[in-house]
Amino acid sequence: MAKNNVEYWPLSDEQRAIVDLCKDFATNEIRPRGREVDEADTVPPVDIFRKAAEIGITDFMLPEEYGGGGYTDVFTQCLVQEQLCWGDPGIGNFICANGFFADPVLALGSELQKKRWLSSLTGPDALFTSLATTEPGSGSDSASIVTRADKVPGGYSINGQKSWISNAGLADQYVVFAKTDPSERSKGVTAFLLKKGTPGMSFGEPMKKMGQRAIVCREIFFDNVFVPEEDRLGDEGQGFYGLMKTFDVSRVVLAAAATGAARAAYEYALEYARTRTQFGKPIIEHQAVAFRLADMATRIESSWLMTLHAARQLDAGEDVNGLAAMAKLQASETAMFCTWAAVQTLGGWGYSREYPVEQWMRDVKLEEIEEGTSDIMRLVISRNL
Amino acid sequence: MKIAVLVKQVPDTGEQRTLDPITGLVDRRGENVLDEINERALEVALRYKDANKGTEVVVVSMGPDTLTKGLRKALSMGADAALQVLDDALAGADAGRTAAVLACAVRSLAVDVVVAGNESTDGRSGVVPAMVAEHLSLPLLSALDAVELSEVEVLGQRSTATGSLRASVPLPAVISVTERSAEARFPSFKGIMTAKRKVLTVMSVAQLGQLPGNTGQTSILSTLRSPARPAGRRIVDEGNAGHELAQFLRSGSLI
Ligand SMILES: Cc1cc2nc3c(=O)[nH]c(=O)nc-3n(C[C@H](O)[C@H](O)[C@H](O)COP(=O)(O)OP(=O)(O)OC[C@H]3O[C@@H](n4cnc5c(N)ncnc54)[C@H](O)[C@@H]3O)c2cc1C
Repeated sequence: MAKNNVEYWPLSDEQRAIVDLCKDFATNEIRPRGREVDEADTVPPVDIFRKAAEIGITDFMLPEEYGGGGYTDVFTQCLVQEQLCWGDPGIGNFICANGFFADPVLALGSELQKKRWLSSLTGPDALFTSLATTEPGSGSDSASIVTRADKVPGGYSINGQKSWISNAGLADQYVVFAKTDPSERSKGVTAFLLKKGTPGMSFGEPMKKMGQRAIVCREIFFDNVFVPEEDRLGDEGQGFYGLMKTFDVSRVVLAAAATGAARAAYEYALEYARTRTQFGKPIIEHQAVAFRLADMATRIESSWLMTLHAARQLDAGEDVNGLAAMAKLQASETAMFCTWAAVQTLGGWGYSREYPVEQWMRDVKLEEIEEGTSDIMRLVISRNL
Repeated sequence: MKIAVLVKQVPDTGEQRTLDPITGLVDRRGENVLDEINERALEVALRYKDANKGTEVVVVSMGPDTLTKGLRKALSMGADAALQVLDDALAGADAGRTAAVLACAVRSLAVDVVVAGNESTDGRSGVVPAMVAEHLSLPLLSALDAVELSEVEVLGQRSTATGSLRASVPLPAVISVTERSAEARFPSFKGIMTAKRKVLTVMSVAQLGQLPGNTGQTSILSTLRSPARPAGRRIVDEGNAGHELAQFLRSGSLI
């Protein structure tokens, strides 16, 4: 948002070109489709994903040796995610969702597993993926899952149910967390790799959602699903560790997504406030309106700085557990505030489905919930004090 | 086949564009981007290259050092090399001088086709492609909405007041395209990475060799602010609005 050319952190020419590309893509391919995807309710915009895959947006974050773009640093991922989610929060998250699947594979996978399960996510025909931990009885307390993976000859048999799984049904590849030792909490959790169509695996109907409808969530049911030993990700009992590693990255990327959505709402409200006249002057000249915009701008600035700071610490190999939670908390609550404030600034038109801000307000509410609610972020932060 | 694509950077069309009232020139101080019409010109070349391996596409431009960004973008979209003429002596060059310099640069490349946009979105003089063709003694097929390129000729389609015209010229030739021509592709992440390793040659005027002499020099005598547009005519429907509307459109040769 700074007006001059002093950047938050110096970007390389390449990163600048990437930002330009993502901005173009968000402006021309994502933003114009936002409303239609929202109204369609449970139809993921697969065509946008395909277009994004052709130019490398869906796999840029995967290592080059598996055919990805090789921009494995979280900093660049944040630059991309911020731009895409400026276009539309749900669509932006939809087209980069494979990063979420890849994180535990990269953290826990053998070389062979990485090759097998990540190469298929690269190139124009990239597959879709899901990561499944949440269950009807286990959300924030993810160590309390009851889906079981019992040892059988040659592998494991999975029984149980997952809920709220993004892209379930659409996805071809799944990381599933299950208990190999139900007597343990986090130490009993193990991760498994599954393909769609594995016998015994089935899906529920699309869950009816408030926003981010580009991503369709379903339940997954496991009825004696056999998983061969070779598709166990990491050792038995390592799953929870892998999940937490995943969260440190994905929370920072989510913070970038939320910041982009916040910026979209802010820019929309600013433009509206400059052109809408009431009581004989543009409403931005009413101090109450201007101050609300000032608060939006201030909170966005601070979210973005925290997000990029956390990303850089992560890229430098630091433990960012607390910092990532701070960035996620700050950015998601900023996005909620800014979209609320944008609706307020547009008045009745803000409440209308003719303008995008009401949709963004519904969309970004998710950022305060998924990958750990704001309460859980405060819990993580406080444990890191 | 070797194709040269003429490109330039212009003020972003999304932003407000202004003329400097004293010099009469476009204010280019803000962020400049690769002209969209040039991206379409590049698209023509890249589509041919996609279908015909061994095609070489070189983007050619004249402009200040900030131009590197636009040239890198062209390279990341798929061009093979870039040639930039960079010289303080060229600051403020008009269309004539620009065309002379570009023609010299293109001659040094020995290409089969030169592709340009029909007019830039800033200067909008629309004369550079014709001047370049003249300097190179090549035929010009201008303002094409659609282009079919082959080994031996280029076949193009151009809109006219009443319909469209199809015409062809043998190669080598200069062509220019309109904003109706093929929409440009996005650069790709891989393209952005490989663009770093592609050759971007910078030349001064002296290195170009002898420029065509006597290109003339534009002088700006005065500048005028265009008058505010009068309000449009409102047709109130009293049962005959369709008829009135059609008549109005016909009177302006719009249908
Ligand atoms: C659209 C969407 C997509 C999702 N995608 C996925 C996915 O792809 N994969 C997946 O595995 N999961 C997914 N989830 C699930 C998501 O991660 C969980 O919803 C989230 O972790 C919260 O769990 P819960 O819904 O069970 O809420 P609960 O854990 O039941 O929380 C209810 C309330 O209690 C509070 N609370 C709970 N524990 C504490 C505590 N210790 N201290 C203070 N407050 C507490 C919470 O903050 C919240 O306000 C998705 C959810 C949604 C809505």
